[in-house]
Amino acid sequence: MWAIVQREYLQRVRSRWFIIGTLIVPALMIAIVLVPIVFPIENAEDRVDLRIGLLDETGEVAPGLAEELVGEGISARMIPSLPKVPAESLGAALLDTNLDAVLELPRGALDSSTVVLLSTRRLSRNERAVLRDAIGRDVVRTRLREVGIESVSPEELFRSPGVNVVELSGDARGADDAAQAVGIIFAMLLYTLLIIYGQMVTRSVLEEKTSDIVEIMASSVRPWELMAGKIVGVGAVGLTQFSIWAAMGALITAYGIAAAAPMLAQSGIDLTGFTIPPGLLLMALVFFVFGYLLYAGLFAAGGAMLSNEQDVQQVMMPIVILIIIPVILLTPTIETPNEAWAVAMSMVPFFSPVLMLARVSVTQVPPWQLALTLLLLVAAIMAITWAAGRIYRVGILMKGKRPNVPELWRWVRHG
Amino acid sequence: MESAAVRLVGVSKTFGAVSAVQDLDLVVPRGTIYGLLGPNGAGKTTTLRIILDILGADAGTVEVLGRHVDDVVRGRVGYLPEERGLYQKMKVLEQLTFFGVLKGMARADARREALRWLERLELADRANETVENFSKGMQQKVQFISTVVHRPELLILDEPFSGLDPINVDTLKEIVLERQRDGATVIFSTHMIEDAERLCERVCMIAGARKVLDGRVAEVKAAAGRLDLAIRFDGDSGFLDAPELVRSVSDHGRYVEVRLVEGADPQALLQRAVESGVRIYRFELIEPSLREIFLDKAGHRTSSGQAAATNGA
Repeated sequence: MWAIVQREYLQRVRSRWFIIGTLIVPALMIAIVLVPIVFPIENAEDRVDLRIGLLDETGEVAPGLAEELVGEGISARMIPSLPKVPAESLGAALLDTNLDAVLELPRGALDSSTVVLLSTRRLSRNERAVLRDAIGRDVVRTRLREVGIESVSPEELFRSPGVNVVELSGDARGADDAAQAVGIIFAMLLYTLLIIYGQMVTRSVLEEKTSDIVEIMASSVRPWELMAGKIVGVGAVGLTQFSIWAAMGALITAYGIAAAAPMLAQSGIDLTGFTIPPGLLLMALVFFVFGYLLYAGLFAAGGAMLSNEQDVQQVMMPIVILIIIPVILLTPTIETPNEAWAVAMSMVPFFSPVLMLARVSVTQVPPWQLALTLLLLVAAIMAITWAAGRIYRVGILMKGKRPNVPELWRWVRHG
Repeated sequence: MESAAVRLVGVSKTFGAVSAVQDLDLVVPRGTIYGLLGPNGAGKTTTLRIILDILGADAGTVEVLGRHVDDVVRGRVGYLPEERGLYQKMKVLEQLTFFGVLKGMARADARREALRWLERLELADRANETVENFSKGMQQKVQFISTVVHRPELLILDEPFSGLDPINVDTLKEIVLERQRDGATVIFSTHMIEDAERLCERVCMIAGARKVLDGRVAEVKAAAGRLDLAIRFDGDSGFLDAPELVRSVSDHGRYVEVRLVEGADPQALLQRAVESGVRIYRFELIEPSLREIFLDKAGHRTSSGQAAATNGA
């Protein structure tokens, strides 16, 4: 069997596809980190370039507001009145006076709930927000001044404390955004690897069938050895590729976070000191390996049923659906990882690799649940591998029509 | 006494409702070249696959090289299936080494043997190319090597000569005979009975999933109960007038063909001829061909049996 593992492994690792694939992903990771740093994208939505005229009949708001707007990078100046033109040509008239918009503050504006902004063009969401906030702050400040309070700024007055949620069941690790992101990334990675390497197992089985080599193999080793050799060999390729990616990913994140820290700090995200807990990495590895073993048996049996490339998709479909179900449940599971249904689903063997991994990354899973999940998973792996081995044994020598379900059942029973 | 190379007792195999092999007894002594004969669909491939433990028999016992098929036996058997294939994207030398290792050889040994064979079959300069660029004839040679690279004690060849060009037919025969001289046993199946007649010491004929007859080729012919003599002589034909020996005589001009009574000894007739004083130029046993015997014995069975045996087995 070792010879088969070795062949599968070396043939694949030396292939052009593997080398390119292994290099492209880290290159993409680097690009994702580097591009925003090297070429900070100027978002059109973020730019505020406005010239505002202030028509202040209250005589109280405008000076402070002008200051407030200039602070936001908006040029603002007082105007005594609107141009005396008919309403329909007002826009053109405003442009002539080099203004984008005029803010009307009629008498009583301090007490009214709305003020009017006459604009010559469509304002972006960001421009509206900046204007609204500036006006709001100045109006509030003016009101405070009216009631005799000047020592407090509106920002201080309305600043609310952030709420840090600390989960007390177990360690202090909370389901913060970073942990959720890690959970989703791991689960999606697992899903992707299962599909990629599962298909590789199917194609490897099919290749031996279509090239008529399987009979020579079957005369040299027992079918289950052939199947196990393939699964382990392809799995080792997956593990190699994943390790390379993970190592590159770790390097890139480490340097990337350091490089991007100033930018992130601007956006109020603090990732310094953020690390993935080693226990979680270990669980990820365990679920990668077990999940792969569980599905690889199915993919191998699938390949053994086929006689030509065209049918590959049909046979894969049910298996792929089994992998997709936990991905659909991923987001709700991460939101509420300890709901009864989430706990139950995360223990079902076909779903547990993705879902339990997600739960482990966002919450403290009781040890008995983990133990039971792994036990069920191992039992399922043994059952599936046994059945797959029997289907494989019969299937690899079959040509022509794909077997239907009763036929498959007979293969499993009589092996 | 040394155990047989292959011993099947009461072996049966059915696929669904179709019986591919029925109650087959078969003994292949060591060191022989053994032919498994029969029309397409008679159950030859299924029988070979059962011997190789690629298929499990539904009933009966299978013994190969004196034991039940296990990893040790697998390593001592070489198999050339009817549907021949190689890893298209693997280099030739690597591929042959892989097959050797699969059969339990050490990597270095397998590599050395593979190289020796490649040199012998004039492929050594292409050892590091992938098979996909090879001509069909070259692929066939690589395939032969993959079958014998581990010096198997038992060679099993399924329809080995079908699809080969004449040069490769000779190459394969040479390899087979050489292996036999080294003490190996060779079993091959064919529907070309003439191939078997030239190469085999023993044969087993099957048709419609059942054995029709088996044994040494000479015995099979003897057992056919049709022993004919071709005699050319000068002198009086009176010695042929012996009803206890001769059943009938037909004159072919240059010689006469004599059909003997069942169980009669040709030697006795020769003695009569010598005693009668005729001069003998030719005294030859002409055996009926295996093909004739087969058609004789299996004719009525193949017509019904062939329809039942599908599956290409």
